[in-house]
Parts: sequence; C-alpha cells; structure tokens
Amino acid sequence: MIGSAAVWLARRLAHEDTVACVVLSTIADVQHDGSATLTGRVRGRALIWLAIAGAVWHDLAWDPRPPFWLDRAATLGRLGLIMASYQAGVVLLLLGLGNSPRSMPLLEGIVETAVPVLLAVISLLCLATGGLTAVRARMRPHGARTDVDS
Amino acid sequence: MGTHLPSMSATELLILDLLEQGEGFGLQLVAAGGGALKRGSIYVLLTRMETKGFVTSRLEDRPPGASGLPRRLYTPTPYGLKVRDALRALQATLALRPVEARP
Repeated sequence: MIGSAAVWLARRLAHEDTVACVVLSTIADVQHDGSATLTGRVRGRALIWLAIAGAVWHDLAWDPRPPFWLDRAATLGRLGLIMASYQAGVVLLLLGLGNSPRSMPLLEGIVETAVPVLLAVISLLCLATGGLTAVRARMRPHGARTDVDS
Repeated sequence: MGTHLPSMSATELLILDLLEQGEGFGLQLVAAGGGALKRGSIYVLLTRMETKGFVTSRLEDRPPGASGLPRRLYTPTPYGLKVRDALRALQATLALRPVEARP
C-alpha cells in the first residue's frame, strides 16, 4: 500500500480520527490519482508527508485533546534539561575561575555555590513534574487512549 | 451573553460554494478551486470544517474487490450553508456604499 510507513508514523503522531480524515483521505486521493510519471509519484509522496505534518498541526492547534506524545516529549525535555544543566555546570567549574589571575574570589564562591544548588533545584523540579505526570497518567480512566492504540 | 458566533474564512466560504453543487473529495475541490485551495492543506481545512459542523463526510462506496483506500466525500450541512448565507448577508449589509462613506 502507498504510504504504509507514513500511516505508521502518522498513527504515532496524531489522533486516530485525524489520521483517518487527513492522512488516509490524502492517500486515497493519491492512489486514485494514480499518476504514472515520476514527477507525479514524487508529488504524491510529498503530499502524503505534508498531510502528516498537517494532521500534527491540526491536533496541536485545533484539537481540544492534547497530543498523546506530549508526556513523552515532556519527559525527554526534562532529561535533556538535567543533562544540559549538568554539562553546563561542569563546563563552568572547569573554566578554572580560581586559577585565572583575573579571577575574583567572590565570583568564584558564587559559581561554586550556585552551580550545585541550581543543579539540585532543576533536578528536583524535573523529578517532581515527572512524578506528577506519572500520577496523572495512572489516574487517567481506562480506554482514554483506545482511539490512539487501535 | 455567552453566545458564540461561528466564524468562517474566505476559503471555507469557497469550499461550501463548491460543495453546494454536489459532494466532492479533496483533490476534486482543489482542482475546482482554481488555485485558491492548496493540495497540502485541503484535508486539514475540511476536517476543521467538519469539527465546526459546516460539512459532513462519508467514505465512498467501493465495489467488492476494489484495491486501495476509499476516498472521503464531503457534503455541506444545512447549518454550514445557513452560516455562509448569514455571513454573506452581513457583509452585504455592512459594506460601505460610496454615498454612505462620505462624511
């Protein structure tokens, strides 16, 4: 079938009814169009991928239901934030503020105190919001995602 | 006071005009739209119009054994046509005429 990979991807990015109305309808039109030329086939494929982007946009901008990948994206974002803040802290500490002849003891003290505190605060915030998300996911009624998983 | 007035864009007006002549599918509307409708956004637009209640859709009837996916055919709803006519009447009423526009 034309665009089976596209449908697979679309079902992981958009709600099932959006996929049915936007992506599958586009594929049906492209199949019916049935252009034999290379340009027509390429345009058809491009149209299907454009339809996936449109379905995601529709879910984000118009659908009152939040996209179901939002939780996973938030988790990835939190992990990225923890790693980025850790790396930033390491870089700051490795800059060698204390070894520099122009180093100021006050600035050095602030950096050495602030970086671990900032890291701890960011990590705690990430863990707390992650825990809240997990609790909310557990409290969600059964069947809430059936339209997605089907 | 909490009345929510429906909104309709110029593109949605055009789609309803095209669909009034008979049900149609996405690329057919794009072809009939004469460049005003885009292939990449037509189904997002139609889905949004269906959410608003302006159009309704069904899958086309396919003969048994036909290959490929069935196309989705769209029809305007009486509510959609009513909103379109009301907006057109409003535009005609509020449009400034040369005599009225003078101070």
